Amino acid sequence: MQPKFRRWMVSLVLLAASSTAMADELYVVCHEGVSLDAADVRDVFLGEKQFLNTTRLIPVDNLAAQPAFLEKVLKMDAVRYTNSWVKKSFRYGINPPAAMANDAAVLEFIRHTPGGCGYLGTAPQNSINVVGKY
Amino acid sequence: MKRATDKLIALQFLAVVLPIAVVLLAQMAVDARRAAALEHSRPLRILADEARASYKTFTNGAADAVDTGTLGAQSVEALRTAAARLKALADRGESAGVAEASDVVQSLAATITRDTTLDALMSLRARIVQGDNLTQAIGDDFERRDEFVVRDAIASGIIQKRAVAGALLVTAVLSVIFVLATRRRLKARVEADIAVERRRRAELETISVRFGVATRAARAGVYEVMRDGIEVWWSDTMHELYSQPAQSFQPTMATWLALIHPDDRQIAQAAITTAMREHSPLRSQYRVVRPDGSVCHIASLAAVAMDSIDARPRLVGIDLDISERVEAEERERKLQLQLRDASRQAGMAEIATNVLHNVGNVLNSVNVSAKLVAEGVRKSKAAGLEKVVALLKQHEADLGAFVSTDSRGKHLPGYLGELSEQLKLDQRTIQRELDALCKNVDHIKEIVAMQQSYAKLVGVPEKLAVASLVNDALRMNAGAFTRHGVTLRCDFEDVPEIIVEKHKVLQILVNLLRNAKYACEISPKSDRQVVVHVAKRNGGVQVAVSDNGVGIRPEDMTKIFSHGFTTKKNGHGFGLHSGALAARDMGGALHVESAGPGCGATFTLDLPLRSPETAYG
Repeated sequence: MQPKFRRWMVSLVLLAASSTAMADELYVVCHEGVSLDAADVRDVFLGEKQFLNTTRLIPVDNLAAQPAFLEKVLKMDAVRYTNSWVKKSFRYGINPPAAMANDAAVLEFIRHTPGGCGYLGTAPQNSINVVGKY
Repeated sequence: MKRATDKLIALQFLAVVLPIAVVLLAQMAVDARRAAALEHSRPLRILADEARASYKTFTNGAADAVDTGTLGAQSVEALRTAAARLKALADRGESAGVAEASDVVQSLAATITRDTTLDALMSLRARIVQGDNLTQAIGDDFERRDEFVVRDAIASGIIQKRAVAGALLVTAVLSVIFVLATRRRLKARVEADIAVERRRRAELETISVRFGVATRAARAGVYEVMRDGIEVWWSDTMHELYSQPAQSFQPTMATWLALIHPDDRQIAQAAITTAMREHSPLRSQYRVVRPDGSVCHIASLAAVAMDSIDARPRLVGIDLDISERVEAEERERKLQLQLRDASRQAGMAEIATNVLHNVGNVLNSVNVSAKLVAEGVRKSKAAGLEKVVALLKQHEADLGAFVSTDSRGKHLPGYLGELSEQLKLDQRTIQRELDALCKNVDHIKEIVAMQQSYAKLVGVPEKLAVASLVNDALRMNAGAFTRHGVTLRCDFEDVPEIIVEKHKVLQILVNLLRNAKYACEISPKSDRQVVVHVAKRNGGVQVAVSDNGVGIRPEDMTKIFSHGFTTKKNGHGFGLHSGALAARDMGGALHVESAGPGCGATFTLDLPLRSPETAYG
């Protein structure tokens, strides 16, 4: 297994283990101008939806909030999420979302990346485009 | 004109067609190049699609392996197939992306087997995804190329439409320019054409009218025999000529020939057949029997012309009503016969006149000779001899005493001597006149015989001395010259003998001498003279009779030898006429010269050494 992918998998396991310590609120945020509903959010993070109109959607994982996201939004565990993306990568040649360390990194990415989508464990400021709250 | 118009139309056609043709040809060339490119890329695209499909089979197998834990044999085989296809594609010299994909997939194919675990696959995931992206990129590349071709074709179609539209615009502009440039010229030409056509039509109508008038006036029918005699056309005048109604009579060779007189039918048919067969002119004459039974004489003139449509010979001709001409010819023939008879009678009268004239001339001499003989007999001393005989019979008994003693008897011997001398003289005189009389009678006989020869035989030429002939003629007129106090002078050169008919020459000379004597006789001159000159001229002999009589008026010079022309009170106008004819018959000629009234005249008789009828004898 490649080191990068291994690190990503380990991080997922660790996050899953520490899910009980996470806050209750989860905020799905996107770059300005991107509007998604709950189903769209699921499809985007499972690689089913890659474009919104002409904008390519680029999802990123928040390692700090991923367990809560998997539980509340995608309704699946980390292994299944990983396998889904492995199969997607084999079948369609697409890569899984990039993994961000925390909310700040996610916010930084979202602000500067058109089509960028992510989720936060804490409530963001008003200037951030929140498309879903779980 | 028609050729110029055709050229203009051709130029206009080119102006319309050429721009469109250029555009279409250019577009066809582009389409052909595009089709060639597609044809070239098609197998490569198929190969790429197959490689992509095989690789997708492999990746699907790999994805399934996440669930099953193992990679199926079909997936491994698909991977190798994809590697082989990509290698083949790379070997065809395709783009660098193909080579890269081929390298990646081949390396995967070399690594992955049926025994490769999921973990191993997971470790190769990045390269598998890379291979997937690269094979997808190859397909996308071909798709882009196809799209480019399609877009190019669409763009080309648009360009083609624009080009055609442009060509049409150019065509329209060219046509407008062309029409504007040539309109006036064409209009002028068309107007000229129309004018020429109208003039030709008018001329044709005029010719047609003239032709109709001419044929009607000439009573000439026009006909055509076409298609080897199957078809026959008649003009209206032809129907009139044959007295056949144009509405009901359909001319054919059979119906035509049926109208021709049975005796002429074969000739008419043969003439038409020959002309059609040999393409020779037709000249024929025949009779036509009209419905009323009258017979019309027809002269047919025709020629063969080649039909301009089917190039077959057609006989075009006219029939002329020559009935009047034929009748006139018949009348003329009868008139000719009458004229011939009249001419013959006139000839006979002329001969008779000639005979009478010439005989009359000779009879003058005969008359003179007879008078001289009678005078001689009347004045003869024979009566004195009768008295001597009676006196001697009275003194028959004493004849000796009577002669010796009687005074009358003594003179008797001397008287008888004188009487004898006188009788001898009278006898010679009478004998001479009787000889002349005999010659004149012979001449009369010859004249008659000669005139008979005009109608029958020619006279007999004989070799004669010209001087002898002239002397004979002079002697025949000698008494007349003496009586009228005309001096005669002869000037004979030495000339050869000539072969002529004696009495023709004699007749001419007697006439010339008698005319000369007459000219002197009526002349007031006291010195009346006639000169006869004989000489050689132009290979023959010339006898000229000149007088110093009344002469001839210039206006009479041209008709002096005409029959019936005379200046004599009791003349017939025949002597010189017959003399000129006789001279011509002998190959000679008779001429006249005169300086005018009062200046006398000279008649010249030219004679050849040999007359024509004896030239080859």
